[in-house]
Amino acid sequence: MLSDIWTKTLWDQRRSLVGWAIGFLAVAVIYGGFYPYASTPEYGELIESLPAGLAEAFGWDEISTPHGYLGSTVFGLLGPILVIIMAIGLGARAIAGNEEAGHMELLIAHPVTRTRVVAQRALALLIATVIAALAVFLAILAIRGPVDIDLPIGNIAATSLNLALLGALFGALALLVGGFVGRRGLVVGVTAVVAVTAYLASGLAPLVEGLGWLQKLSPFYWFNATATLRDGIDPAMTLLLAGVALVFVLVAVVSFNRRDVGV
Amino acid sequence: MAEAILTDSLSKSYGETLALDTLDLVVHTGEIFGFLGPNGAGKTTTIRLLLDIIRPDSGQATVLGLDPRAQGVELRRRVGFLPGDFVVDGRQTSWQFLTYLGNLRGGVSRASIESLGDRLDLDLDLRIGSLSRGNRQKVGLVQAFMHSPELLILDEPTSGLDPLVAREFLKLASEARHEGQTVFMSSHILSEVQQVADRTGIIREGRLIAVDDVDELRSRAIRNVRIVFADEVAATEFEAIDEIADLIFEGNMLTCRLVGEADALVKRAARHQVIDFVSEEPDLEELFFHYYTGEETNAQ
Repeated sequence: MLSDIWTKTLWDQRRSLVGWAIGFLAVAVIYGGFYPYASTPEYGELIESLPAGLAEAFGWDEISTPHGYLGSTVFGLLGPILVIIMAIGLGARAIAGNEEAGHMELLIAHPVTRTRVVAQRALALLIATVIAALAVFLAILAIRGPVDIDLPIGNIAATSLNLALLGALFGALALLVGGFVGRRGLVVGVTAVVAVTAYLASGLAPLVEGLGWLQKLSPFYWFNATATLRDGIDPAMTLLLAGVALVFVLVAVVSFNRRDVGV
Repeated sequence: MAEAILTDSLSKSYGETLALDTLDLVVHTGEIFGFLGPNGAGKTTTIRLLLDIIRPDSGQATVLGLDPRAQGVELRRRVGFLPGDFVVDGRQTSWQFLTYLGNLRGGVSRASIESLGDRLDLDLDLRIGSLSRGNRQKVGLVQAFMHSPELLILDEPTSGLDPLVAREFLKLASEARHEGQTVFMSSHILSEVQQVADRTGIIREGRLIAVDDVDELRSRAIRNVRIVFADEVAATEFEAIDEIADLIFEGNMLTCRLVGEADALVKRAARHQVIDFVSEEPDLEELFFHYYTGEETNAQ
């Protein structure tokens, strides 16, 4: 585990990663386990009483179906929020936090390129979000029978993959900001603001006349868990998530290569 | 053979602050070069520029004949570096950390890490977080020396070390030179550098103001001397000595500033009964103030 930067990064994070994985399992089991209550007629009526646009905006209009329920709960709200919080934390630490703590100077004084540092830290970040998504996937798989979630395993897997990529995208954004500035707090702040804005854009933009196009720019729109759970993977959207994350990492590499470290 | 370090008009500023002003520095292969200066003089900035941690505004550096930016990986493979502020993640043992750093260099033998740990009296199995500041500094020294690099770049290597370990470090540096390695070490303590260095450079406010052989430096050394005699002594006896200045007598106590060799003063004092003799090295700031003002540094 001490052989290279990415393995060392994961090794250093091992305890926190185990904690996160347990958290994701618990959230998915408990939250997903409430599905039988959401599929009752009473709950359906409650949702119907909400203003039509609002329920639609947050995907509650299909709440009594398995894809609608999981797509607006485990995969729609808590899953993305938690995976993004985790990824932003890791992404901010990967460059800026490491630099601020005074650890980066020694690392880049070794025979490694900065490109290798950023690329390997990005890889460690991706593995962390995959672990989180895998925990959610396994949890849903486990409760699928007991609470009668009638969805193809492939669709659940695809949505879990997208969840990992959604987290990786915002983690990569934190890397990108860290490529420019070595201040962890600033990196977390900027990235979190972008994430919240993107979330609101995907939910609220369609409600505003003429702003509907805006939601298509949001990674949350590309993620669209309800549709993926219902229809299976949309390769274009999955590639978009992965592609944008990759571009963010490339920009992080270029910017980090250009600047002074630790000043 | 190429010089170990060569800089040509190297300049660097942080915002409005000029940290390094057209530095021309030569460190010969196989020597110990002491890079002296008070805190904030530009020592760390120079070192970071040599390793491509930061980039110069203008000028150029060559380390082991290589360009820090374009040939950085090759350069850093052949260099051992101790940062001035050596901090690492405390949640790992020294062994784990040193093994990891060794692996980044393609592997370093266990024996080499162990023998350095022994010499510096460092328990490698302890978590770094549980170590004292001095012991952490030892971890930093081990990682700088463990791969026997051609060039050691050490920023304030003795900071935090107790005197015994500091002496062991100075031995390590001397041995490295005997093996043909070059040592470039910064310090703000003159006497420590004098013990091992072949040459010293003195930097102040971003400018290199003097490069001397250590012998030369010693001949110009300044000491604050205080002598207490058993009986009253006539001031006139000492006034004739060339090497002393600022002579003050208070009863039986003489204080003065000694510049250069102590011989004449000691022999004159020895004519009387001496109760106490204190010779102190002034700190660098004071040294600069007395000695290098009048040259191009009269900022004060």
